[in-house]
Amino acid sequence: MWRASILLIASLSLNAVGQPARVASLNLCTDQLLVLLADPNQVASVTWLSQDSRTSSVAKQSQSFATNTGRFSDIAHLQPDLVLINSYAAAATRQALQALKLATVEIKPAATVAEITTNIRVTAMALGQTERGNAMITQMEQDLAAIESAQAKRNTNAQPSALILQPNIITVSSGSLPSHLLIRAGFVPALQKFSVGYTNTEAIARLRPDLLILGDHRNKYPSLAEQMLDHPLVNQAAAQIKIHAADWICGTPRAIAVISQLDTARRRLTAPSPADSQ
Amino acid sequence: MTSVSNKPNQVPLAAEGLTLTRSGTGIVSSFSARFGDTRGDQGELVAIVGPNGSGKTTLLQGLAGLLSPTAGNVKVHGQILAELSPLPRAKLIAYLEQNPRVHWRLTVEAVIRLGVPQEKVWWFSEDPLKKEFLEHICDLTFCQDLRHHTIQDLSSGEQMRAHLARLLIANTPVVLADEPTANLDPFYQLQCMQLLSNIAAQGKTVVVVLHDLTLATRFCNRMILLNKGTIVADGRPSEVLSEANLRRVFQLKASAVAGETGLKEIGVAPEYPWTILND
Amino acid sequence: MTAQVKRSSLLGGHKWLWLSLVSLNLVLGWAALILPTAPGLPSMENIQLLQAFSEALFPSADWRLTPLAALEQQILMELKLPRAILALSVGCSLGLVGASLQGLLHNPLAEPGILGISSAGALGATLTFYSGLAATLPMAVPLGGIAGAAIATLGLFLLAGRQAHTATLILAGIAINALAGGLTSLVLNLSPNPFAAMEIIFWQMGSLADRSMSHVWLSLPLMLLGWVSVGAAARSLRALALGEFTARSLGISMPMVRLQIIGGAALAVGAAVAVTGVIGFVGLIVPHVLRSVVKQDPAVLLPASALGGAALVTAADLAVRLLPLQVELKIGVLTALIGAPFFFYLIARQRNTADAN
Repeated sequence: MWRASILLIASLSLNAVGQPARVASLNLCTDQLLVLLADPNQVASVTWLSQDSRTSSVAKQSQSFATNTGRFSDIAHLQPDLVLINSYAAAATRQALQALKLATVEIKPAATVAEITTNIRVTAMALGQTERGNAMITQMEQDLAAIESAQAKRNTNAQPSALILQPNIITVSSGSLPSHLLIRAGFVPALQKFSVGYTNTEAIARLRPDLLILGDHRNKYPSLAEQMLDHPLVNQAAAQIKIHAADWICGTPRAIAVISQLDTARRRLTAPSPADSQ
Repeated sequence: MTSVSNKPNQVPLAAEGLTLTRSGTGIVSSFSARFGDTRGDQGELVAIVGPNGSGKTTLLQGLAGLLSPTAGNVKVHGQILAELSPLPRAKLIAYLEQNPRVHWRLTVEAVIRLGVPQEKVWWFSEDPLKKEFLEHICDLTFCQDLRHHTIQDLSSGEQMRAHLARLLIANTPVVLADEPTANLDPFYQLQCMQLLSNIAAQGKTVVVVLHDLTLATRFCNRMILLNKGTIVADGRPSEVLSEANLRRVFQLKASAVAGETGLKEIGVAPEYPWTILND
Repeated sequence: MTAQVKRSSLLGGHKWLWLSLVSLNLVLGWAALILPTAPGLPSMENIQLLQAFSEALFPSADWRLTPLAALEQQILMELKLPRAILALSVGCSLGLVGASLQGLLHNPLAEPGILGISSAGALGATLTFYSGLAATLPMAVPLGGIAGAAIATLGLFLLAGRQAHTATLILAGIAINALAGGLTSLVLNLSPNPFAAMEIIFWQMGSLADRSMSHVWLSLPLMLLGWVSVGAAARSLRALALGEFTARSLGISMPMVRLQIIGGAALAVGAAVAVTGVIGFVGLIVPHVLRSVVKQDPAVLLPASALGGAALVTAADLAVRLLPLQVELKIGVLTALIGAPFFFYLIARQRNTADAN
């Protein structure tokens, strides 16, 4: 259940046009919403992760902003008008914010498209950028509707299975955003078909997913975790696509692009072969 | 290597100007002696005696080829020992170290079998030891009853018999033993010396480091007295253990009488009244 | 009673031991191929195993595998088979090297893990792996492991001396373990790869999970070389039961024995650790259990410990595979749980004999 508590809005010091002038974010996901919705001069600080293109969809726009490491002590001296935090922020951070009576907006990580739009709406309102937020939501809804109508026209009920595989053979749990996006694109998460306490290579092979979804980034220096993805039993198991991790670590409008990418893969997997077509 | 051991005109064991240096005590300088006889059919039992720190053990290790000499050499049947590789050397000289230890709980028979120098190192090669010879050595050293006992469970005397059997099973022309009678009861001391004496009688060259001058006098036909790494005397025990030598080297007042089996009138020499001898 | 004196080869006289050790390994090896690699997954059927091997051996024959059988075959050949081969060969290396070090040092506590040889091997392997060298030259990882193990073994001899006292040996092992463990952590922390830092547990506790045939080809030939080298020292080790001086007088060349055992230990343990991480205590438990069975003969103990080590690691890996836990247990955790009590027991016993003397 979505819960965004907008606290101490009354005490917000707003600028001439009713916007908080200096906004700091202490979390990668709120960073991205802040950068997407605020005017650049409103941004006081974002986390260093938001500048890394491997994890952030707004890395390019964030390069010029001051960064923090997600701790309150990093932004205290900035005296921000508003602080954006994740609902899993550390207790120490919350206490410090409360003690200084700083205006705070707490955003719960989104696990569905609906939660993404809610988060956008709340953040936009807090930033005094309601119109920009609404425009963004409208665009997302239009894009999604286009994908879904194309799906309806194809009139296929085939639901191929897909498995998201990350280094260390860790797969993504159901109820997460990636899992939701898979279902929205018409896939069945392969892990639901098979119950093991944890995944291992043999389990992956036995799942026989139709599609294997991997990250697109590979570190220059090796690790055992990533090497496991090269195991022939994993690597040669199924069709593969690569999804940019930054597109679905946090709920942003990029989620629609991921659905589109998955939809394309599904279309390819379920396309009737020429012999079958009438 | 049988070609080496059967040369009739070569002395079985000879040291020429042997000089051995070692960190700590016991340095041997310019030791020259010949052991065994040239005809090769008659053995010799030679005792090396001397006070503590006179270099007896070092000398024996040098004769065994386990210490490389800084000068001089040791020849076995005319061949320079230092030029032999370990295995041919092991077939010529058997060596018993002082206070021999066995590190694992092996049976006596297993220990005895270790004495055979092994030519092959590969896994499926046959054991070269002949059954009859093993029986013979066990009889000789009174080890028959001990063969299946774990060596650590035996008394010192029994352990020494096993070690002697280990020493003799190699059937080498030269046998070196470093204080084999140490820690033994008088009965086992006599038994041990009798055994070495029998071996020598069979034509082997046996050199024994001994502490016990009485035993040495009784069993050995030749004695080398060592002091501070050099030979003081070399000859029949009665000649070597002269009153002057005993007084000078051992600080003892005693005399050996030819034909008798021990020292007579052992006592501390009067000029060394602080020395206590109670043997 | 006249005692029987048998003219026998080095291996002779222990027929039942060889028979039982070999059949134990066969059974465990078979189980490693049949049983799944995680709880909850199906086992393979014997007929499928037979079919898969026949298909692999005679690919030209006209075998028609169903897709399911093809999957079983793939799981067998690419996952279970390399895992079984590595379990057997790594166990063999650890048991063999443990027994040979104990013979060389006259000390039942000598073990590649305790002496730090394994962790130094892991350091060598991590250096070559995380530096990215292995990406261009896969052989670099086992070679790095061997280099690390060799340096540690030589260092051990320099530090503890030839006739090492137990305390000196163990302390030298602690020092090498601490240094190698610390440097391994450093290597992992310095790696720019964010996953590297979490992988210390693999290198310190070992695992056979998700290995492929490429790991077998990288390590097995080097381990084989190590086994031959250590095995060649068997008779010398037997003579060394009488101490170094006597062994030398029996025709043993000490430099040669040391080269054979140090070199062999480095090859076998270094190559093993490079693909599976440190699996401790195997070289301690196995020779200890088998020593009295082979009548304490240090030479016969070598092949016995090799087979025993293979069986122990394979059995431990099967246990790790089938334990119903959330995350697969590292195999070294299991061997440590079995091995550490042995270690305490051996220390206590050594202290008692030392007190008695």
